[in-house]
Amino acid sequence: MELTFWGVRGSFPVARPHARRFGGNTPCVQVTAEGNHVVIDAGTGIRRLGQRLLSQGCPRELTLLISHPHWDHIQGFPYFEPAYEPEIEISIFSILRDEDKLETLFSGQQHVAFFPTPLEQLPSKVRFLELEEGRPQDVAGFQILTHRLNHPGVSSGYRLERDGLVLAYVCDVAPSRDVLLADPRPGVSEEAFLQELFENQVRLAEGADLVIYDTFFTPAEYAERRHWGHSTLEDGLEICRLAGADHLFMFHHNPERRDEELAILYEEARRMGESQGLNVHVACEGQTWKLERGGLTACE
Amino acid sequence: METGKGRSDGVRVTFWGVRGSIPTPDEPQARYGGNTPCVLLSCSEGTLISLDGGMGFRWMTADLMAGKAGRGEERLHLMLAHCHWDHIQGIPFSPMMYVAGNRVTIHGRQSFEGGLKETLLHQVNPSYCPVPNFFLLRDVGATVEFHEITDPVFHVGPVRVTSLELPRGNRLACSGYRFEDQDLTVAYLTDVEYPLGDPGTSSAALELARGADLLIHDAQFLPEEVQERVNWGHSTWRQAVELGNMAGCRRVALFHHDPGRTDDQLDALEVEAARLARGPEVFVAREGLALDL
Ligand SMILES: [Zn+2]
Ligand SMILES: [Zn+2]
Ligand SMILES: [Zn+2]
Ligand SMILES: [Zn+2]
Repeated sequence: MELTFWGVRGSFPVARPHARRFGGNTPCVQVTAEGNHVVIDAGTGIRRLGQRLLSQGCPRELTLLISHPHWDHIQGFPYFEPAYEPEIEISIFSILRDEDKLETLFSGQQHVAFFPTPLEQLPSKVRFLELEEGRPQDVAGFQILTHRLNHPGVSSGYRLERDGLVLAYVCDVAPSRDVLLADPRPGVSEEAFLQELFENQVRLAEGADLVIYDTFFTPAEYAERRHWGHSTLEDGLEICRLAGADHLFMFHHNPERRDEELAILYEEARRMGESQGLNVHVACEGQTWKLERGGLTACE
Repeated sequence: METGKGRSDGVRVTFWGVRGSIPTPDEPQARYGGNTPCVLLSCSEGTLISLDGGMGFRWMTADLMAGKAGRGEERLHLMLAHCHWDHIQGIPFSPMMYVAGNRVTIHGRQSFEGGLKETLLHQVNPSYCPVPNFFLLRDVGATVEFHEITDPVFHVGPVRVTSLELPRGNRLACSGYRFEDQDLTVAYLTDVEYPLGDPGTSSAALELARGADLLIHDAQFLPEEVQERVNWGHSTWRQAVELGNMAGCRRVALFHHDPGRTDDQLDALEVEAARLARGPEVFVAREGLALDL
């Protein structure tokens, strides 16, 4: 399994000198395994992924998994050039949504007031599909599981499994301390619901080789912005410990975070990880990693 | 970067975002910059006018926070060319919008049913928008007012503003602007596509740009690209220079660069564009550039 980070920044794209080293594009991660191909989230990073795909002979069928429809996770889609190729089919997955369907939201993003080409007029064949929570399904050569996460609106994480290798994408997520969902489960106490949302994270990461985690905040920042829907490295370490995961990637970096600062946070994080037998990495735009049974290696 | 908070002698123009369509935080665009449109005009009597609210608006207003905006005493006018994402996407993330006491007036034309305010409310719909909505009454920080432009001439403090609709191929029209302050004139014409590719066909463009000290103009495409981009709603650098020539402008800033345009290409294009100029000084707008008129 190979993964490439095309966008690692949270909230909004940061085209400023302070974010040049780790990258300023919003979330997009490409996962491939023996010709199978899945893209997680469609932040601005997907623009250059699309160009790369077209220059290399793009697969005819593309699969996108969308964590949730906040702009930073969908804003690159109108600039995804394979969507303008008539022979290409794009399947876009989300967790089952009762209302506020992903298709309606994608179409709203490309309303003529905001963007010149409406979704319906894209030359490629675009279809929207939903995954039932907690039920693994075969999609594009991977077994995929999704669970809801504690984040404003309807957000979900993904677990991708193939040939005994497991990758988890847990973003955007807040610690299970306040319920941030608009529609808490009727008849379930807040405490029980928070526990369920916490366990969802652990289920996604259970025995994972690699977990991509929302480490937007430091603990001090989190204390001031508990309702924003983002987590900390410390929470990620706890999830990985309970789930028995091997590698954690710090991801969805705060747009204000300067490269020097992030490098220091990463050094601290690495040491904290070591003490619990976990390898911590920081997601850096443009980097490709190869995951094998023998372990994880960075590609040149 | 020094912004110049309202000048009594002249107008300061600061480019905070010069990229069109989508922010490009990428290496090949690092020198000219990857933030979407935002230009700050610091005019007389402390009047601040922001041209568009693209991603550059996030960083421009963060810079203002060191001064009056941080104390909730700032007054800002935001002029929108239109409501495409690249012209509004910085607004919800602007720190000065979260400080009570600041006052922001958004000027523009409705681009769909219901008007300017409704268009922007759709943008900050919570399904998309991860931050609180200051357009609604709860959670408000700054006081936000809307000016739906109907009368083409209006005043913002001492600044006389003329706004006319510009052609955009078969797309919805876009607003162009002319600002006059102390005998100085800045014209802002972006996201414009002229019939037959000829700026001379647009009396609105000629009227807005006439004799401007600075014309900031859409230069998204190369002349050789434009045949394949009919009805995309943009101009070429050549058309920008032609309008500058025809309208007798003193300077022309090539603006709204294509997201794929690299720094090296922009360097080369500046040399070529300067050769075509008959009168105006032509340059490529670069993020961080401040110009005193
Ligand atoms: Zn996000
Ligand atoms: Zn989010
Ligand atoms: Zn534009
Ligand atoms: Zn536009």
